[in-house]
Amino acid sequence: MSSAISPFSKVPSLNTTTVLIVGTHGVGKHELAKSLLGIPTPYSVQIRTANELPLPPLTGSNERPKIDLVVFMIDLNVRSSIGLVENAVTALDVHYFMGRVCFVVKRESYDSPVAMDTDALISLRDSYNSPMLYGDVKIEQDRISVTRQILNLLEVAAGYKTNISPLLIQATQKGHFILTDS
Amino acid sequence: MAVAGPRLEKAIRVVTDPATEKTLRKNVHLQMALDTLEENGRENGFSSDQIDVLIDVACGAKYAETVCMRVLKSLIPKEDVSAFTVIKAVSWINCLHKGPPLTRKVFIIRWLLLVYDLVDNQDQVHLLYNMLFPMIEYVPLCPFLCHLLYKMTREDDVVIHRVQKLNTLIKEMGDQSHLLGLLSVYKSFKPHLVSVPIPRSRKAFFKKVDRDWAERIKTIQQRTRPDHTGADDMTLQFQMTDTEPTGPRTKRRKLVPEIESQTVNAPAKPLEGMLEPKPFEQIKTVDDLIGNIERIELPCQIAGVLDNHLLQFYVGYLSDRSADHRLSFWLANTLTEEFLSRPANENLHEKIRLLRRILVFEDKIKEGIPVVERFIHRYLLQWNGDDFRECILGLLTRLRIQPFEVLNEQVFEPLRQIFFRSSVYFKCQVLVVYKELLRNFAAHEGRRHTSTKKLSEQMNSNPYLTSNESVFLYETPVEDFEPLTTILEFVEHVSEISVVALQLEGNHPDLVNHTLMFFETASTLQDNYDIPLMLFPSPSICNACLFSFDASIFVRILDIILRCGAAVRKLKKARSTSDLDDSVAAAIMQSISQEKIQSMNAHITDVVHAMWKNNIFFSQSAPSLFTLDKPTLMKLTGTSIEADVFALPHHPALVGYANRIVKNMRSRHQSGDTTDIWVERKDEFLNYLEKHKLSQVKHFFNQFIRGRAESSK
Repeated sequence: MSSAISPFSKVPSLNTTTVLIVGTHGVGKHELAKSLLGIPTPYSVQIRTANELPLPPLTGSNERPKIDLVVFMIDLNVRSSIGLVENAVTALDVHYFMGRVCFVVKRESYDSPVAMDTDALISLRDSYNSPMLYGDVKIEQDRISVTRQILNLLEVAAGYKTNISPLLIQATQKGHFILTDS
Repeated sequence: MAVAGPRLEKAIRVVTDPATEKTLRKNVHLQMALDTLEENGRENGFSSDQIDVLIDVACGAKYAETVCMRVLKSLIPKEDVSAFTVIKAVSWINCLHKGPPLTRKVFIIRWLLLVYDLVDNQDQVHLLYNMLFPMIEYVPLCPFLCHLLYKMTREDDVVIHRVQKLNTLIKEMGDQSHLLGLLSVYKSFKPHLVSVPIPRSRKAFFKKVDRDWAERIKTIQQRTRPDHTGADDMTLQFQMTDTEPTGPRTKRRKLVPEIESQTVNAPAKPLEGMLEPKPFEQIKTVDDLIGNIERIELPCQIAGVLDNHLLQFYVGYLSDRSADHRLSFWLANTLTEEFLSRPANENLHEKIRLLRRILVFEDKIKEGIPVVERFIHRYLLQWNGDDFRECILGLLTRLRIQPFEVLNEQVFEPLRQIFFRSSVYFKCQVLVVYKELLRNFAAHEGRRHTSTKKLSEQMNSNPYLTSNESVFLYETPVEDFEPLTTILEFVEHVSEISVVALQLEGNHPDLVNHTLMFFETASTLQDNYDIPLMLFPSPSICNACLFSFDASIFVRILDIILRCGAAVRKLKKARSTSDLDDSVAAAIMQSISQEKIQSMNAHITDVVHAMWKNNIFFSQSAPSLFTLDKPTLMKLTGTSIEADVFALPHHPALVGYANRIVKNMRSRHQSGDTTDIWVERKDEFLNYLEKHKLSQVKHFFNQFIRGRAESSK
């Protein structure tokens, strides 16, 4: 697919990392982005947000940086959010799924009438074998925890850890989740 | 400071005089009078006569709204309030034409509410009940009026039509707390009339809106009548009416129930031939427990076990499985309900308390509870690594042994993902958990598995057998697998993740320390728990530690190598002599496979050559990890590298010790060349290290250099 973004198609820029946050409107992309920028890091963090993938074709002289980590945000209280992410993941280059993607999931609230089944979520996690972070970015404690974990993922994904690549970390996984229909 | 009598009287005269201009603007007399009244209200308060006069101004229609409100707000009584004043105020409220507007009526009611306890003749005021009650239809008045009526209500006031009125209001407006408050007082007088359920947990029916106003009245009252108890009564009454009725709110959400037995509440006749049951509340000491052990009655709610250590002993001893079933059922329900369906921060303290209780209980019976494990499997999948971290990690140390694939999918894999994206401190915590889990596997689970497996074979012939090894294992069928294999694969898994983690964290000292702690435990399993396995850390961990800057880390890895060497010798002997199960033998073989022994030997040869024989460029006949070639190294580094670059006194961790001992020798021998000293005095250096608690270095070389042990004696 020509419009798919790829982690290796561009030369990385010095001391800069870029995160792409994808999720429906109102899922808390900007809260997460602010929080990511709020924690001091030895490299600068750039954040792009998108409501859906694939990204629209570029117009004018704008250029997209190399994207190191893609964060998909899902809110289990919003029905459309998971379907959107399910469509969006297909627009990513397959290399992203080796440690350069994570999902941030806001749990369904207790007694929510539209809460969704978690089956779709589990199948998403298993088919793309990517980490799933649970937390509500509107709650401070959760947000900080999620942010720190994303920054740790980002540091590895962008190659700021000596001799460590996302693939090495994935290599420590033993066996694989087996999808069962039951 | 205080407003002088004549000035106050003049002010009152001004505001009450019908001839005074109505408008406040450009009316200096009125403005000054109002200021005086307000000041007097703040400082001294008014006597009942003054209030009686001023209430007409405050409620009347002559002045503009702001003037009336200022007067009303400054009406702080310094003594009692006359009942006639109240009657006047109420009649102003009821006045249809020329009466105060609704907003002011609200304030008048609020004022009445505040001064009600100071009224001299409350019986007279009570006559107004009939006039006040119909006004609760006005929505803005309703909350305060309900509170006022709540205070005024006597038994005779509770009649059916008023209850009906309140019921219709509740239907229209929803169960507002003030309506419920009034109903609750009705219900307390005549419960048969009120059928609406009043939530007992309700702490306060009425909001305290006029806190400052009430406070001001209280201060003035205390100042003018310190001996009078009226003021205190008032606050007391305020508190009582505001907090009543207090429901046991905390108990309602308490997760672990109290111990309560059936027989205490309704003593039942024991069945014939049975001992009289003894309720558990009466068991206070271990002696009680032992004396009555035949006839103890379990509490109605089995979860009380978690709160009582005697009951925990008893449940551990019981051969009756019903208690375990009840407890399992309760735990499964409560944990799912509290942790998986509700937000994490709700009822936080109770949740932590529950988890801690479960931990204590598991420690007591020394095994994991299957339902808690199942909960953990589900919870780990959506754990953020932060909530209840201490307790969740604690529960993980009590996992039962299972085939590694099962454990991996349920526990290690979710934990591995959180492990790699969390801070170094979380990684250390996980390693501590793994260390404890390994110990648990070795000390309890392996043996328990073997005995239950035997038992389940016997059970085929006799289904009534029970295990004395386990409280909960009965409920899961025992799978046929070798616990030793699980332990072996588990240690390999930890070895792998710690290698990557050490790289990720740049050999963080804490992480190195915790990794070594894990492998120290692993290497002592054979001595402490008779586990026939050799568990050697991965080569990169060894290398990182062997060339560490820290002497303690260096000697700890030497110690681990020493123990593993001893383990191999023991295992080889055991394999040749005793007759073992096939599966056990296979696990042992796997742990001392040719490959592993070679890797260990390679480390030993490397260390001996590099550190003892001062030759890093030794011939490659022996197995070795790093092959160094002098010319290549020259080409790479551009400098000449001496063969003794890694010699023991040059070791980064030991160079300080070497420096000190060389200084000592120099002072004794006056010799210049340190290399010579070293060649001659290896033993002295080793003894020096031993003196400084680094004896493992000596043991290591005594062990692995042929002929040294004898010669050094």
